[in-house]
Amino acid sequence: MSTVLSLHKVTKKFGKKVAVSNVSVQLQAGEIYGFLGPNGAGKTTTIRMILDFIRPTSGSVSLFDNGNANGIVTSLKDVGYLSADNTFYANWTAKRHFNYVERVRGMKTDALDLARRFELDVNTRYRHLSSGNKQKLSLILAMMHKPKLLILDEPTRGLDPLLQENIYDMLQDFKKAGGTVFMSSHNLAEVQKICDRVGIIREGKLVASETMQSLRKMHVHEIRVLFEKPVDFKKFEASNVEIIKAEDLELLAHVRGDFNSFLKEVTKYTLTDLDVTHVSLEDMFMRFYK
Amino acid sequence: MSRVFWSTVWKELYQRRWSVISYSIGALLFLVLYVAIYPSFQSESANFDELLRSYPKALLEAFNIDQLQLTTIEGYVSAEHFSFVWPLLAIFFGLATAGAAIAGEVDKGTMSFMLSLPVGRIRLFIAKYFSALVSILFFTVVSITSFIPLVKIMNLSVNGSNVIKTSILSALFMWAIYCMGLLVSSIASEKSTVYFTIGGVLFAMYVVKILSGLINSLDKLKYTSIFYYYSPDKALTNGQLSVNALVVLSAIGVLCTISGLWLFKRRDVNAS
Repeated sequence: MSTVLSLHKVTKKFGKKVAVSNVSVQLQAGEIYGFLGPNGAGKTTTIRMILDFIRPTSGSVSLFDNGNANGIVTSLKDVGYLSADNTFYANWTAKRHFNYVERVRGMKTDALDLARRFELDVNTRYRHLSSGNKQKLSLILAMMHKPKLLILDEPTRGLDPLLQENIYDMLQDFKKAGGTVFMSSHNLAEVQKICDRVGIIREGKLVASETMQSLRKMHVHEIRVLFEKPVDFKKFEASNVEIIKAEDLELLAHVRGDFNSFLKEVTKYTLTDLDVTHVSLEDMFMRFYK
Repeated sequence: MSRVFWSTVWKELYQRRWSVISYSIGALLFLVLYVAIYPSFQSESANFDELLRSYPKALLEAFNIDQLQLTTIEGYVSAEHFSFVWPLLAIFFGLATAGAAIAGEVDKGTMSFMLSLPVGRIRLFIAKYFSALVSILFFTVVSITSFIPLVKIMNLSVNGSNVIKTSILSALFMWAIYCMGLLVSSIASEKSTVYFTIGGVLFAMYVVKILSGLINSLDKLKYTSIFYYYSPDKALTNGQLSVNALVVLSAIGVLCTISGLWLFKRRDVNAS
């Protein structure tokens, strides 16, 4: 499988402020990578470095395995980009935007079909479009030339749930056709739904980069136990156990990974109640920020 | 040149079309006005000539009317049109075009759209530059070269060669202003930075030109002012086109262009 995008120890400083620090990511063809993080974490700065809008202070970015040997301009022929702010020419209609992009890319595209699918009026000036329609236009401009790599900065921001579903379907189709997606998002549910891998960025540092499968395997269980008689809760402490609450007869613990040994310990005592639930991915995500 | 280049040149021209047309028509209307007024002014022109001769030479130089020949239409138009109105319109138009080219696109957020396309920074810069040259040429032809047919329509006569020389000098002046603006635009993220920076520099140069004429000890400072090299009255009334002026204005244009391109290629584009 070929490497479509490679970030190698990329750092970006603005004066003394380190916006992105030592980030390394590799994307293989056909995968959808979710780039998660709160506002100001460095997601957009990273995306701008990928597209050569800004230059890394150190480290390197390479697209399509060529180390940008043919230059970013050549690479951009196979890249579609959706900006978080999606600003286009205020007096242009969607159709004029499509025409210009077609002329620059030197190809006829299926932009009008995509516009029909998204129910976008192509003859309305950009400044008169609603924020949802602006987002639709941005997405069509990113996808109309059938790129190999899609770089999406919060693609579903401001869209209604039906449209979000539409986009998830499109991205899945895009992936099935061999396309690769690098998308930033705040929305964990959507990342969980469509991404194969997720990178979590915090204060410019990539604090985790996992496949969704391994993230799920790392799943934490929340176990609530009610004892018949008081017990010494310290007995249940272990490296994969985090005691959340220990009061009177109740014990609430988060157990990472295998919980059988924990259960063995607690069932040595008489229990009046036992409740085991999954900690949501969202809660797990939040743990990275603590 | 490639399809990408011409598509982008066309896009730039299309976007700036109303601005180019309105500036050009505005300047043309001023010219029409002066040419139309001239016949009624002609009978009194000798008196005005005399009156102007009583003014300090430096003051007249400041307004590009040191070639006192108000008895001819060339002299009259150069005193009225080229002393103040045309340079001011040329400066506004040049800086507006330069400001919109790069800083304006960064400011609006459309630069990220342009840079995400396989155009490339150098080609984008040159396409914008080329379209600006076309606009400058159009503005010059409409607002200056049209003087020749305009005068013919009014049954007057003018030295066509002098008008062409004035057009060349004025286009060079406007190009130099545009290039100065583009240099700042290449590194700025707001149009207003271009207007205030180069507007301030030009104002300072204008003051320097006036002061150097009024104060003998500051005489040599005049060489640092772009307005010293722009003498449309000499070109229009006497056909004088100073080689120094052509060289200096061209040098400003070339140096600012090369520096602007180099800076734009290296800069970070942070807005959206």
